[in-house]
Amino acid sequence: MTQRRTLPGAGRPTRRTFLAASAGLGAAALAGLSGCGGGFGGGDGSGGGTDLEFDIPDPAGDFPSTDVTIRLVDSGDTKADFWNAFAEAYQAKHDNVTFQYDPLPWNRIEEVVPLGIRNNSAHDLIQLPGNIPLSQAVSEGWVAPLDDYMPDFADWQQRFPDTYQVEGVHVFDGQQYIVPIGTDQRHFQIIHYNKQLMNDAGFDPETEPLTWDTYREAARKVTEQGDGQAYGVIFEINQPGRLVQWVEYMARMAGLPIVGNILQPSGEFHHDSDEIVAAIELMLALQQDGSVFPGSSSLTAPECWPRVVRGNAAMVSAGPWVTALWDRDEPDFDFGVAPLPFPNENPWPPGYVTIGGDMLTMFAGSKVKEVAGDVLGYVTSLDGQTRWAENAGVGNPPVLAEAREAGSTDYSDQAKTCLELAEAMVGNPEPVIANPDVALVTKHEQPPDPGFADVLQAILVGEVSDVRKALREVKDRAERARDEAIAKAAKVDGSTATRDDWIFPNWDPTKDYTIEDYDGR
Amino acid sequence: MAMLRPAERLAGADRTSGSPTTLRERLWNSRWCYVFMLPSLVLGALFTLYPMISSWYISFTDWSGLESDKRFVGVENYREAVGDAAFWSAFGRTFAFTAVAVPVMLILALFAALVLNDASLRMRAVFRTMFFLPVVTTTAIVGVVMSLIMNPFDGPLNAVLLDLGLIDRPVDFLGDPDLALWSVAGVFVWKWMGMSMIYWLVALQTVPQELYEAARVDGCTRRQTHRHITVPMITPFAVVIILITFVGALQTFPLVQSMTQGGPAFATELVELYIYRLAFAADFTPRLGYASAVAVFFGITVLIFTLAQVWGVRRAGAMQSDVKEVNRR
Amino acid sequence: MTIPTATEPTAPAQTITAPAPPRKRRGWRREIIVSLILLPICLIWIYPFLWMVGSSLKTDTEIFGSVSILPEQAQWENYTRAWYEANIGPYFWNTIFITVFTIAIVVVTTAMIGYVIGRYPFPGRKVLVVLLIATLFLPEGYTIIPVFDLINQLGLSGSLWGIILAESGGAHVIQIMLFAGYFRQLPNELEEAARIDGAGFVRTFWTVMLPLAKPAIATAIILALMRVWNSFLIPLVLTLAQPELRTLAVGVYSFQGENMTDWSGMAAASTIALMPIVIIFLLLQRYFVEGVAGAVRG
Repeated sequence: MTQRRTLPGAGRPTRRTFLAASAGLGAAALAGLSGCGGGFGGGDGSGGGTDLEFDIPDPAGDFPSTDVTIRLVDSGDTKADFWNAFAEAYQAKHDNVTFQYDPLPWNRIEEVVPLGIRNNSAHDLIQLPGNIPLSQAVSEGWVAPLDDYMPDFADWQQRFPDTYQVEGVHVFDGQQYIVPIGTDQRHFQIIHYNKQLMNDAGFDPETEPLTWDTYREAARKVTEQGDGQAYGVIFEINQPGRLVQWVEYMARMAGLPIVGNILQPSGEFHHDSDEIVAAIELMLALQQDGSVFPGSSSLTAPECWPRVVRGNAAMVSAGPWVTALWDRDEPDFDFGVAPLPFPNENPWPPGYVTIGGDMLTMFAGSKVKEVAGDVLGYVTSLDGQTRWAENAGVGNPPVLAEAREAGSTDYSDQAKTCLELAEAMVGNPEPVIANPDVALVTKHEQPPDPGFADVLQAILVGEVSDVRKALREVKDRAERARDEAIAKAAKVDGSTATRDDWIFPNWDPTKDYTIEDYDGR
Repeated sequence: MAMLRPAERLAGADRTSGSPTTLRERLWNSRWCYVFMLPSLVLGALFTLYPMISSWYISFTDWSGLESDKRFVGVENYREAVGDAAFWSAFGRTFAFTAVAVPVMLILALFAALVLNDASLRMRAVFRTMFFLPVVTTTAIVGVVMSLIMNPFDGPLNAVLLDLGLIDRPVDFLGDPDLALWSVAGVFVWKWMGMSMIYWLVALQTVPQELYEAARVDGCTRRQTHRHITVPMITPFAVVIILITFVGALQTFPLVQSMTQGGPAFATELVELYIYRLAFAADFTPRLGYASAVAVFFGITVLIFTLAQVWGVRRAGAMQSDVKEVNRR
Repeated sequence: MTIPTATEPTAPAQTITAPAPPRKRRGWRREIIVSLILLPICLIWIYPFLWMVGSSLKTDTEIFGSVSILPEQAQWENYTRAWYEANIGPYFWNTIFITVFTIAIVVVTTAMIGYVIGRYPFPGRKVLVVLLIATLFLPEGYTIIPVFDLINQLGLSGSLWGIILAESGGAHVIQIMLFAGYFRQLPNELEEAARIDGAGFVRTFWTVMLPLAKPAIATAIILALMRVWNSFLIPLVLTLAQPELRTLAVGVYSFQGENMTDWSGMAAASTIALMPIVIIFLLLQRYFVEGVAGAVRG
């Protein structure tokens, strides 16, 4: 390592050899995907719902008999609770197997997985980071097909929902390469609030849901009563990707027909739509009221949550993992969860991405493929999924709906509410299911820089005077980038994707978009 | 075996003469030198030269760092870098940051070194260690601690400033885009001043005590002592220290990344952070080739800047000695 | 780094120039005043550390928003959690192992090359010096992958030795120049005396010269120590398959998850990581700051 690239005598290698942790940066790349509640077959293993024992089936086929180690890497957090419990049970069942689990934040995974692949020392089971599209991993031969390694594979194919066996997304050339364990049918912007502060201000979102107006009012009241010690809301302005999602949820509830960031049926980007502007203006209004926790500009999401616990802020919009976290670590804290404030009487339900949430692939260079397959087989069985629900908690609901139900019997009230909120969401259409070549376009796409998140952050820290103009500029840049990417993909990879692949004329924003609907486009 | 005798050394035996026989002789005489150089040079070639040259090659490709083939694109990346507005913004920020942080840090460090150079101060080891503490701390924790200390809601920094009456409303040090860069500069100074202090101490230590004694005997005041003895003696070191510190500051990365991640709204995105974003952004395919090119391009501008500085100092030194010459007559 | 040439005869190497004897009568009063002024300044300077140490004994939510440094109730279990559950214990010993050997390699190799640069005008010396200094300023692109590939090709990934090699590799120009300057001003008579005693090149270096270079050695140790102790990416990447070989810095970062951070554990781990360096620095700085009288003096 070249020493000179550091400060004189400094002990710190430079950026290229040293990557500093960034608290929660890039979190939202949870390529959330999950099937809609499609059919599920009867799983193997007992349907023992509340039983905390792992009922691991005996392995099929060529399970190794020598001492082996299997390694798994994913983004950790609440999933760690499952994997740690599973590791114990699995090692008890197979005493020649050591199960090694490595939770890492996304920015570490992005660095470490590519290098591990180069080195042939990558983990056996990997949760792919956002910078490695699966299609690329398959074409480069980094990941192996699972068909031969998962026990009773034909059986699995039958009982596992079809939405997770999509050609071009999970399946390539007829073989399955990736397996989702968790669904992305979860509400990422649930209002978690400090009951004491809200009740003192006279609000009870659990019985009377908030509207945009009462939300602002509640924030103001709490701040007023807080007298400098408590504020109405806290926003993770230094993690603006999440705030973009907040804005998009709010806009969609207000009736903006967006699938992801594309307007339907025009196929244009959504950035300068009225509803988006309205949502942003609501945020700005909260700021002007003085209801936003001071210093939010430099906070990331994990830095916001403890403030709510301490009573310095009343409301934060967070994913269900925070419920799981508080249930586990803050048993004395009385908090409530509620949906985002409604813009009108009949808000549209928020949409979720259907191709799967927490997903695992198998490294092609793995020496314990049979073990990996066995693990995957168990984790996607009903028993495994139920255990997942029980251990990982409501932050990562399992794919199989039956497991969700069975595993949630011991959930706290707040967690159950989170599940309800998730159930109320509808599955979005996915362009890549309509035309797998969309993945090629995404590979070549260079999103605008600054993007929507950056612009939103700039708006919120006061750097932008004309909000609409800035949004229009982002939109124009996004349009250009997409057109260029489509052209480049066609030229370099022979892609057949066009702008039309992002348009779904038969989409109903209040209903799930099912597999059949794709055929009817 | 014959080795170069000190006498040979002093007699200027390193003047290259033209005749090959003498050269071969000298090479043979110096063979142990080459042996001694070998381990260091091998390690250096492997881990400094090879990666550097490799990275230059990467900068000419369009590569994401992941795929197996690199597409050669020639100077396309560099052309893009020259026209890259984000890069130039980061560039300007980086130089502004350096221009402010480095002088402040060096002056503070020099002052501390002067005070702690005093051999009669028994606690000096303790004091020096305390100043040095920030230098050896893991940067991640510094980022976390500083953002807690600086937060406007209940951070101690704001609390103290309010109590002292220096401000009447809490200041969002890391969240206000106008302030963030300077707050980060402040933390930078705090973190690295100890290292500069050590360098100054080393420089000061080379001033022989006898000179100070003589000055004291002659009845010089402190200030005269410093001006006429300390300053001239440490000037050559000063040049080197300033140069190295400037170059190092221009390359700051881990500290800023862990405190603000370049935010808010890019207010603290220094060049190295921008490069990191290019190489490791999560939302789209990373562009390692381009990131490399930006890095090399930046390095070249730093090099030019350094050379200009050295040249400038030489000119100033020449002028100064001219002045001295004149005054002496 | 240019080494200024000597302007007065060098003192005999055996005696380090002693500091002037403290002026005992007036001195101590001044010393007390200066110390009293410095102490609060230093305490403010290390305030963030006090904060960190305090945080290591608090609960997570207490860290956010308690005004005082001191915890309401000392949570020593943060330390046990860090040491045992988060594996900071094994990482600690790994780091010590790596650091000791890296420092040994770096110090010996830079001393060797510094020695010959400083004392022997071999052909090509000037070119070498220019080259070394040039490497300080050459622009560099993205180097982690080439280094990583190199270690793989050498077959060293997945072992602590791979890490040691990667960390000790690279041109340590500052240390080299330091040694060069220091050795240069050692008196010539030493070599004569050694030769008379029948010592060859290597022995002269090893038994005569090197022991005299303690201040330079101490400096080199500290510079190398600082770099390798907190090194993060190389150790992580090279030990992907063997997490039991990971180092402290990797351990500290692992407290920071994607959505959740164990703040108090992180603080505890950082405190543990800090202690050895502080101690070493306290012990060694005496040597390399004060005694280095001749190290770079011309």
